[in-house]
Amino acid sequence: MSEKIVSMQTYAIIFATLVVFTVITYRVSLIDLGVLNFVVALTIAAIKASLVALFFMHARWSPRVTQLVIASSLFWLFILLSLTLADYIARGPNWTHGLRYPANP
Amino acid sequence: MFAVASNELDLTLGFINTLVLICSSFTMATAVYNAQHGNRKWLIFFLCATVVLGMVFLGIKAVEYAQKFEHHLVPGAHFSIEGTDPNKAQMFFSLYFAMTGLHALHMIIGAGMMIVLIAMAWRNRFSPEYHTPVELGGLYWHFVDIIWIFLFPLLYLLGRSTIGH
Repeated sequence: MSEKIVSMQTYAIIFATLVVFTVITYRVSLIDLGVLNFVVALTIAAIKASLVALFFMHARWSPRVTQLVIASSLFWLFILLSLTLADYIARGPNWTHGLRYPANP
Repeated sequence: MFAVASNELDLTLGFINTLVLICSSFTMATAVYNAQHGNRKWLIFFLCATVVLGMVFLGIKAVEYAQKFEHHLVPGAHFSIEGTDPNKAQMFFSLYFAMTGLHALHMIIGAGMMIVLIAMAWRNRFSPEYHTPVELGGLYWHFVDIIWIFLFPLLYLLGRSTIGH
């Protein structure tokens, strides 16, 4: 198989980056940033997942078709989340009422 | 209450578990690397390391589940929690057990796969030209890790800053 062999150095760097991001997620979760907490936590999670997918799973060096399959499954998930959120938004002017913590015990 | 319920989860254990899984992804990638280079001994070593880390993860999960049982946080007849709306907390724990339970099941299946790969590697079935099962096992393992990467903030980190420890 003529496949790209990724160097151990690359793996080690990605591993260290993942650990750093995990620590950041943990520290940030202890500071109150309001709704930003949610955004930051999920953004960092998305970055970590991308790193695992691109480097550990070799998606970066995969054929275009494989990359297309990965991208389209993410797109499908996005459709799921958007339509769910659309239901929330359609509930009237106070649609964020149930989403904020700790305002609604 | 949802956020209050989330704060009942042990953040330290969840954090350690996340690091354990990220390490196991690293050992898995290293195992694939050694398969590509035909290093049988190191391949077997890193596959074993991946399984061991997976077992550590499951062990910590078991400890967490035991804590939930003790604290009456398992949804059902014996559920009890302080606060204004225990039903919302119960809903959180239903989701918690469903999601982490399914994830743990996938980890167990993954561990089984690793053991099969170790047996195959032991019998010298892999070479730089053919090591596809190792790569596929790696893809599966990384996939389960990615799921946990999302589960951790979603379940453990809600409302920590506003209510939590």
